[in-house]
Amino acid sequence: MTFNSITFFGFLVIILCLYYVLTHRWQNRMLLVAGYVFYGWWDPRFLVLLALTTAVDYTAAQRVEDAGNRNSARRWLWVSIVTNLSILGFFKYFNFFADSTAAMLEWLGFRASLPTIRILLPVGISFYTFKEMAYTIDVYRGQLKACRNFVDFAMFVSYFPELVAGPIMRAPVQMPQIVGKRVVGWKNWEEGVPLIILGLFKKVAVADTLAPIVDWSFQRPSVMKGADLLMALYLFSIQIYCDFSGYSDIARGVSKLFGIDLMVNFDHPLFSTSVSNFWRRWHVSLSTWLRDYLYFPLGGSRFGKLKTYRNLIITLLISGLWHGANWTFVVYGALQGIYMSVERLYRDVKKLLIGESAQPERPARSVWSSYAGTLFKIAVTFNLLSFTRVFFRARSFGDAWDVLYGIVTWRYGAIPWAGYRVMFLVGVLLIIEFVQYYYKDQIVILRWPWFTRGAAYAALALVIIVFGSLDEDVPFIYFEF
Amino acid sequence: MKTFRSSILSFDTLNLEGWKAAGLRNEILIAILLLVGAELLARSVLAPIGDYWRYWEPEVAVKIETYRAMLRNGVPPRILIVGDSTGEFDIDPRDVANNGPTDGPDVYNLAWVANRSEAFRRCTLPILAKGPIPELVVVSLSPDAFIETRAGRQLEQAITSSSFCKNLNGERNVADYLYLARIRWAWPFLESWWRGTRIPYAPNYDGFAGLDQDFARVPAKFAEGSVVPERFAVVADLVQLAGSRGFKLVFVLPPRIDPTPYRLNADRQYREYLMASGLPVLDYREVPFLTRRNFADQNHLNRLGARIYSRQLARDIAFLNEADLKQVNRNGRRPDTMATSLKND
Repeated sequence: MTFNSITFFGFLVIILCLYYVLTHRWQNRMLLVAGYVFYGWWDPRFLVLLALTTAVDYTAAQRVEDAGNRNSARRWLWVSIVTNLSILGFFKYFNFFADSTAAMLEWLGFRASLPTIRILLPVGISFYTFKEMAYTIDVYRGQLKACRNFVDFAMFVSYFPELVAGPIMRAPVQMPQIVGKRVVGWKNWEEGVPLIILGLFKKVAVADTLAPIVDWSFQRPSVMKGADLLMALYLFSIQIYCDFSGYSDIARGVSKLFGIDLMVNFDHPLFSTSVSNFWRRWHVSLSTWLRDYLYFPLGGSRFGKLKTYRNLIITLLISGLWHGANWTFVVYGALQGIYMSVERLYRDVKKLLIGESAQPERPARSVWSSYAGTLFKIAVTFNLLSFTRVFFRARSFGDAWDVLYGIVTWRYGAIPWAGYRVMFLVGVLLIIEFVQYYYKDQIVILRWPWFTRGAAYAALALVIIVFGSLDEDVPFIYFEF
Repeated sequence: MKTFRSSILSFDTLNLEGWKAAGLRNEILIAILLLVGAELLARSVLAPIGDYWRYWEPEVAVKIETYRAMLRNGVPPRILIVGDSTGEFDIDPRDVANNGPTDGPDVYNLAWVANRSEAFRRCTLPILAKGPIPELVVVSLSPDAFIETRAGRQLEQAITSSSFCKNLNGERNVADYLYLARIRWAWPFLESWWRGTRIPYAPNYDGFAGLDQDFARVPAKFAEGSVVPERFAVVADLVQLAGSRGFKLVFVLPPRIDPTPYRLNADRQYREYLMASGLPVLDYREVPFLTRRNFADQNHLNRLGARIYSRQLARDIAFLNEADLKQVNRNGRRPDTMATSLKND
């Protein structure tokens, strides 16, 4: 059941109708059942994993809190972490590690034949295991009281709007909204509906339209024109943004209808002016998770420059691997880490040479703060990030090489062109993004007079109906993660 | 406002007070009005297109609609060619008609590009399952049709996701209800209509689409895949349908040149399957009367090649009819009537 399906909207209507006539206690019970129905729709077998991790983390967090000493608390924390990572590791990375170990042994001259298993990757496993781990760690750190109501906790884990593709909500923010009574006013609807429409526009109209063009080029990179490969690469950057942020927008919009606020997961990353700026805007819930539970524990930037670079690279390597069990994702993460380290090195060197630390804000009329300068930085960042996405999208290093070789040698010439429909949709997207970015408000539409708002909703709905791939059930890319 | 106490039911959650004052009602009204207006406009603009928007390609729409018109009139062609691009590009119905067992232009080409096994099962079989039937159905499928790859799937999905194909299988699309959603599908027809081309128009050459180019090597699109035996099930379904509806079947292994090892393997598996099933097979994979200059690429003939091939096919079909299709079936024999005198005429 995906957000862009009729089934989901039927499901949502039923759940909302029930939700609005139930008491708080029964609302949580009903949302828990809804979460399990929603998740079991893909494959009921996955529910066992969800229930298992929920039970383990629920128990472990209480034991952590009740533990008389730090050692005992730490033991229960490890029970939680090991359980989550084992499940994640087995279902997502077993074959990857088995294949890689076999390849390495062969490279060393040993004959190796390690078992590989046909494992079905449970949808969204990386999201809910990370969410649960964060919960137990927060309890261990004393930042959160352990939840003593199993229904509330299980609903927190299986809350369906964010269950399979985030945002990875933190318990200190979300738990009070689950435990406390909720009131849904018209403001919730006024904010929620535009987010849902916007998300559908990004997913159904833009991402699903770009998907076949991107797939076509990446499936046969060795014979595609360089121009087509470059176009596919740029379009993939836009596709993956629209696919994922579209999901997040719909999730936020739907959640608002239940009176529960989810965090903003994307802050216009297409307009990032540097790689570090990008990671503050892209998949914010994951990047802040990695910052708080990996980068800081590794030492962050507290132990000298070299260790800071190391920590950055390790964090982004893990981020790459989080996305998929393939060495191409490792390279993707490593490249991001290298970018971030180089960027930091550049800043440090600059500070050292010209003492920039004395003037953190640059003069207003400097070239970098001019529009042209900002545009240039956005373009450079977009290109650098698109380059790393070759490894994100390609199925193998061979394919990635074919893509890069085809682009660099501009194979078969030609000028990149993706067609009027694509250009129109990308144009509409960029206009919307720019207006939101300019006003620093994702629901900027609410500032407009009612007739403009009505016309804008109608226009977006029209674009979705006319140009969108309404009947093609294209799954969200991030479900795979 | 609580009117009764209950541990389960409560109406405290939803509180829409003040929504009218916020202009929400006007906002919703104007959005609905604009959408309804747009839908009405779409209905008037799309009126001349009729049902043609349901197809994935104008040429195919015309081809299938023409065939359906034949069925509606109760005059199906005596010989019907079905299959994928090897049927559409290689077999010219006029040459088959003029050199074969039928009198007059009684042959129709209902094959189209990318009509691979799944598309064939969901689109061609339902067409054959209803209405008057042809006497003989010639099936021209490349072994590529039985290979499972993502690229192949995409090509198939363009066909199977069309409203026409979904409707044939009892499914519905949003565009079946909303004219606005038809605009994208109907766009090529709108363009034709705008340029003054009458819709519907008759298909060229009874469904045949000849290729004009000289031989050019094209990269193998499905070179990574291997034949998936399950995809052969469509052949069994077709045979069963032919049995129940009473039309004869002939399978052709289409001409090809410079086969890769992968292609040779796929060819062999497809042929073995057909022969093991006891089906009548005409094998044109390597024939002396077709040379490189008769090919447009490794898998398709150009117009000249199609002409030579279609004439030979007509003669072989005539032979098959005489020799009793079922007999050939059981023996798995291949008629040895291929003339070489037509070479490049």
